[in-house]
Amino acid sequence: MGPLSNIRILDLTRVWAGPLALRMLADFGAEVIKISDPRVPVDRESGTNNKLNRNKLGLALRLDEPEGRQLLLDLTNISDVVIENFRPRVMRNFDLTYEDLKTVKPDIIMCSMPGFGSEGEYAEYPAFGPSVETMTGISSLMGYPGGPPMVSGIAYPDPLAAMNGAGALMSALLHRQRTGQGQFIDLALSEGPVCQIGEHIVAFSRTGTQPLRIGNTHPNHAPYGVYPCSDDDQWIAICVTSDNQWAILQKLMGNSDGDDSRFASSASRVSHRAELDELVGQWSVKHDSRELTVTLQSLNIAAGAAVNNWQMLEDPHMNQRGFMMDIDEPDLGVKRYPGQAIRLSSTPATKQNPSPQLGEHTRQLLHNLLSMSNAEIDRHAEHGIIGLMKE
Amino acid sequence: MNATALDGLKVLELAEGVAGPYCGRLLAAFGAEVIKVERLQVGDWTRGAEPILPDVEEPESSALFLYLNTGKKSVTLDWRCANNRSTLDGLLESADILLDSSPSGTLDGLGLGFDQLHNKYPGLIAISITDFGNSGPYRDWKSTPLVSLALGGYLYLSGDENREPLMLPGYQADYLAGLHGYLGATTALWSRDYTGEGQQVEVAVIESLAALHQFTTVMHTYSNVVRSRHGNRFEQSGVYGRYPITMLPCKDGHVSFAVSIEHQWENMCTLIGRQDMLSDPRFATFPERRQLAPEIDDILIDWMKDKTKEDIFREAAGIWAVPVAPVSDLEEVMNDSQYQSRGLWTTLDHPVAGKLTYPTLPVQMTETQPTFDRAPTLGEHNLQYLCLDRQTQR
Repeated sequence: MGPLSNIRILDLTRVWAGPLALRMLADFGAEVIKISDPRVPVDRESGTNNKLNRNKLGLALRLDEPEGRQLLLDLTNISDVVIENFRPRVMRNFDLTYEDLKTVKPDIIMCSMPGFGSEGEYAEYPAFGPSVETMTGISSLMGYPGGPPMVSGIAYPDPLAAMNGAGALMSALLHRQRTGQGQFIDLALSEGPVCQIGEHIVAFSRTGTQPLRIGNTHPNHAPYGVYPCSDDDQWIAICVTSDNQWAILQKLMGNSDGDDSRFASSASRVSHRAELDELVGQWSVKHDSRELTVTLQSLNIAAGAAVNNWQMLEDPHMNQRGFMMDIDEPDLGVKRYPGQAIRLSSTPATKQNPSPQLGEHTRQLLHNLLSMSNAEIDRHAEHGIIGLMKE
Repeated sequence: MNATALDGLKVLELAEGVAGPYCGRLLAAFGAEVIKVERLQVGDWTRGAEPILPDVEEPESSALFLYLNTGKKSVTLDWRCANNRSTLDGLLESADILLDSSPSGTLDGLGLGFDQLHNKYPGLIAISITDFGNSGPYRDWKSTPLVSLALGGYLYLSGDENREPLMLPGYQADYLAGLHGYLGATTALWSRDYTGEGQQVEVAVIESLAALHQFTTVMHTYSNVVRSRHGNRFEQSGVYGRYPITMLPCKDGHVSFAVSIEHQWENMCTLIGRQDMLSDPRFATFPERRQLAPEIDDILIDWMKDKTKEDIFREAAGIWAVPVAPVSDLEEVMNDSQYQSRGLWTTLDHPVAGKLTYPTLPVQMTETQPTFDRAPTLGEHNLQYLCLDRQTQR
């Protein structure tokens, strides 16, 4: 089911970036086998794990035991991709480097996603999205006008690594399809955000000038920013980018100073930004953020409520487009999640299986893929090499 | 000689702006021949967008355009005009991928809707990347990077708790949609290898944001909590809370912490000489530490006040395996030895804009390393692809 259903992936990743990268491919039908440590319980309570690992199969396996390692090599032999996001020394300690995997499967595609890449001075430094984010330059650009640098608070490098990783994997798979050649992909969590401020890097390489932090403002347009609305902590982004839009907004605001020369042109509005923002804020605060969004958009003014989690889940547009995905979690009931944003017209992402329980598919996979007998499987489970889901 | 993953593939890029062209940049970097069709005289609107390089002649002076369009060819053609239809058809004839970002309904109105294209060019993959997609009540709405972040649920999560939410800088929403476009394109190519059929790939910018949240929505569906923003501090609610995950001042700037695992907390307390905190019941669990964030901040700030960010990084991350990092400005990023040794930068010489340094991509691949060539000047390849003299056409 799905366009990638003939691809088998061994997913050794943890936390966010790695699991999301493979879930993108799992949504399109890739057989993603999530390999986890049988001693570590799977978190089913917070929802995070369930969201990031839907549509995968679960196999619990000790990579640090010789028999567990051999099972991984046996699985590698019949897989297309192996991917991990440990610190580089971990896979070396398991004797499961690209060279090791290549020995059993010459055309294997392996992807490592450590914090700073597999080699170099910081290779073994621990890294999580919220820390490496500040080394990418993006924090130096993020902040309120005149204020200090700020972090996103959402571990922004992770989803970027996931998307770049999934894209690189597909590139490598297409290359293998044409040439028969596998390869090693080394992806650094710390580099994704750098590539999403590329315009500033390019400009800096010429001017040597660090851009000012401008918050939500625009250098050439006003009013342009985030304004308060009537309910507690509700906000709306309003972006006026022409004189005509300003005239329309002014009329809507019932502003009697329609011919106020301070606000006559973009340039003068920008130079009187503070007064203008105050005027707009005094007006917006009387309105509901989502209703005002609809009103402004109907007048061709770019605007959007800063939606929170439940508001986003009930967003009428994304719901009408069938974007949200309901998954029947066997132990928790039906839960709603954001779905797959890539819409393929003839091979859409239709799979919606819940994320696996610890070792849920161990027996099935070892039996079907490696022809292991139930007795062998039970023996490995008794020795703690593999984990079987408790019946 | 380096092979490229998409060798031999042809892309016709009608897309303008950031999201579509970033997808095109990736296709070019992985080896596709990307022909960018630009408006006569002015070109893609990003040719006039900040940051503008001083003393470089228009329309080649935008660092944004130069970055987003590396490795592409440029032709100028008013492709929406019926008179040019045969020229456009000629380009479509040999294309594997059509990359478009025009407002919903534009292509249909020109007889270039997907069904029509598919009848004529069954193998063609048609990618549409727009702010809101081609259906639904917001289909014709206007967006900006700020508005997309707002409606995609990202904006609400960043900034100070007592102030208005704060946007991620630049064009983040569009870049993320571009990455979705690339993954959609390669997935459709994989499918085409088996079926011989092309298909439509549709990406809406706000959905690509909504799709990429870590635990934002599950905080509501599993714990009935609104996720909000906490300045530089990470989430604080229950099982989602960890600490210290924040940014704090030191002697010569700021450093960030991302202490997320128990042993990292233990190492951190030992590193700063506060083993007493390990037996202090007030700091027993991550949720409790998260509630004591101001106290932990004071302790760390005091420990760091005479230390440089570089020394703290090397000691905490390098020796004690505590995830800590310096807060770097652009100069520090570009001088960073790790990025340099990994080959994150490339220098490209543009005939008008001159030599500039560009980020490449965050991957190193042993067989198909992405490659980068300079962006084209406006209409540079008219002669090659349109059999027209460049000056006449412009």
